[in-house]
Amino acid sequence: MKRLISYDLPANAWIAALVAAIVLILAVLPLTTPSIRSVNMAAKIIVFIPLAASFILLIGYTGIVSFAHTVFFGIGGYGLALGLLNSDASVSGMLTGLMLGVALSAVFGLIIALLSLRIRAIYFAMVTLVAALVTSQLASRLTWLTGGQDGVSFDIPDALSPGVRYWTVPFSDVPVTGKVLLYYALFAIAALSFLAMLRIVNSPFGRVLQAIRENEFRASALGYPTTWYKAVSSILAAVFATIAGGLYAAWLGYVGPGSTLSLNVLTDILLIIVIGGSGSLYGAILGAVVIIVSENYLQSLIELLIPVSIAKSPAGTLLSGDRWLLWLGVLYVVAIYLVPEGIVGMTRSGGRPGDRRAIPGPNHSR
Amino acid sequence: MTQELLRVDDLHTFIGDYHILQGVNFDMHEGGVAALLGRNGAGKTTTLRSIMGLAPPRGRIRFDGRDIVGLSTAAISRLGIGYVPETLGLFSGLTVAETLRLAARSRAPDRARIDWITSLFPALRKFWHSRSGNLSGGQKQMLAIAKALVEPKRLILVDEPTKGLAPSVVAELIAALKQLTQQSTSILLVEQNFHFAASLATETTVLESGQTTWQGMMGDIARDEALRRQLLGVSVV
Repeated sequence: MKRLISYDLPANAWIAALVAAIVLILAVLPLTTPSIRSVNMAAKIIVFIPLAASFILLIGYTGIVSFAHTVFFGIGGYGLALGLLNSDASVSGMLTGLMLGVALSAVFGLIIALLSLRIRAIYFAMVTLVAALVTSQLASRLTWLTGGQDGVSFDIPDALSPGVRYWTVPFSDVPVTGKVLLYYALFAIAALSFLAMLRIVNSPFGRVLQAIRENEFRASALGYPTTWYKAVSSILAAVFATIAGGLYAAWLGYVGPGSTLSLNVLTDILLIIVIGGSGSLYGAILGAVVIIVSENYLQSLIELLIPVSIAKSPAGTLLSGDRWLLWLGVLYVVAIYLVPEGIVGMTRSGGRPGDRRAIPGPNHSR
Repeated sequence: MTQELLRVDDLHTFIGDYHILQGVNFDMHEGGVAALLGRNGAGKTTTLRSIMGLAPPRGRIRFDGRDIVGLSTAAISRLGIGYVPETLGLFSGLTVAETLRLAARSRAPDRARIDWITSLFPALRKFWHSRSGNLSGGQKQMLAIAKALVEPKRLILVDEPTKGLAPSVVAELIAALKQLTQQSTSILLVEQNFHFAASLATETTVLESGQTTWQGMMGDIARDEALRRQLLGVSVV
């Protein structure tokens, strides 16, 4: 198990238990509840974990602050959609579309990395934000290719469609349909992506990325060609975000500027890594759960906790369930104030369990 | 006489609009320790940074017969030059073990070499899995030098290694650096502590306002107080 997670255990037993519980719940959810809303939410969490983790790889491990991450997410979504549309919803078409998307994102990721060498800090962040907005606008206007503002709806392979029913889970009576199969395909691909990213950040390559983030000159003084490392990191982050985009489009059976390229998606990613923490990939898991569950259930929770009589009174208007977005904003501000390093960061100690494998220690004569 | 390892000719370096180095010249030989001395602001650190390509210079720097001006910092490092900056150049988020692994670049550090390094700096053994940001000043200095030694280097540039260190740690450092020269690694040392520099260096270059004002043997300047006072403005008892 430790090998599977590249010896990178969460820094704290509580966090480890929380992560394990989340993974377990996500793994069994579609077999235990017929609630479409819950399963949709779980699928979104599953997609946003590798998406946010790839952003952490870029920003948290390499120090490249790029807001163009939604571009890769969008390329993945549109790539998969166009592949399916042009192949009568075949699996090979789906994979071809996604692979072409991955290749395009890799090129774009390289361009982003090269740009980061020429333009620094806040200026680079602004350029990438403009790139994200321009791409969103392009997707909205190239109607012949992308369906414009309306986006594209498409069929997925029959075996993965909700209409196909395989069997019924005995203890919960939940039907196992093609959609449930799709859920587990998402789960498996997202898990593999996450484990691959864990492997990357805990490899010697990942250590160099951390060194570059801390001080690029020092890393180059050790003989590392930092430009090459930044470029590869940017390409890897782009590839994982593209795969996540493909997964999301496959789940929704739809792709449009709003679902993949909008500022809302970027805001979600930022919220996830602020709440979860950008110092560890596990921040993506905790942040995705907090943010996406809040987006789905905060309104219901407020309505449950605040009696209608109070919520409808003039004084209690801020406590109405309709104001859930305000309270999500408050949660965001409080999190930045109280736990600036995120949930994972707040529990970090001086050493890390994974360090023990870094290199064999010297011959101790204790 | 041993072979010339480093030659710096008419080195000029600009930082922004400031002309910091205005003609630095010196050479050093293989296997030796050379000290760059001078008052604050003389250009000693900038000289080291120029050699490493961190402050792009004009002029000529030849390392082992090869012109290295214009090469990237990474390429210069790969030629076998290690750098221990005054700021130590550590990565505070990495442990001692990770730092040494990083410094070993593509290959795993040789166990015997790690043992040798930790015999030079025993404190590093104790804090093997501690983050470098949590080490004391002396331990950080030791790690910074250890980092430059993980891969065999022909030359290491060390900038003010004794700054802020207790006398007992300075003595440890002198012993470690002396051992290092016995392993045929040359050292170019920038140092304010004249006693420390004199105990290690054989060759000396004195800088003043970004120019070389004197080059010779350390013994000459150590013995001649009038010369020392004239060049460095210090009197050492």
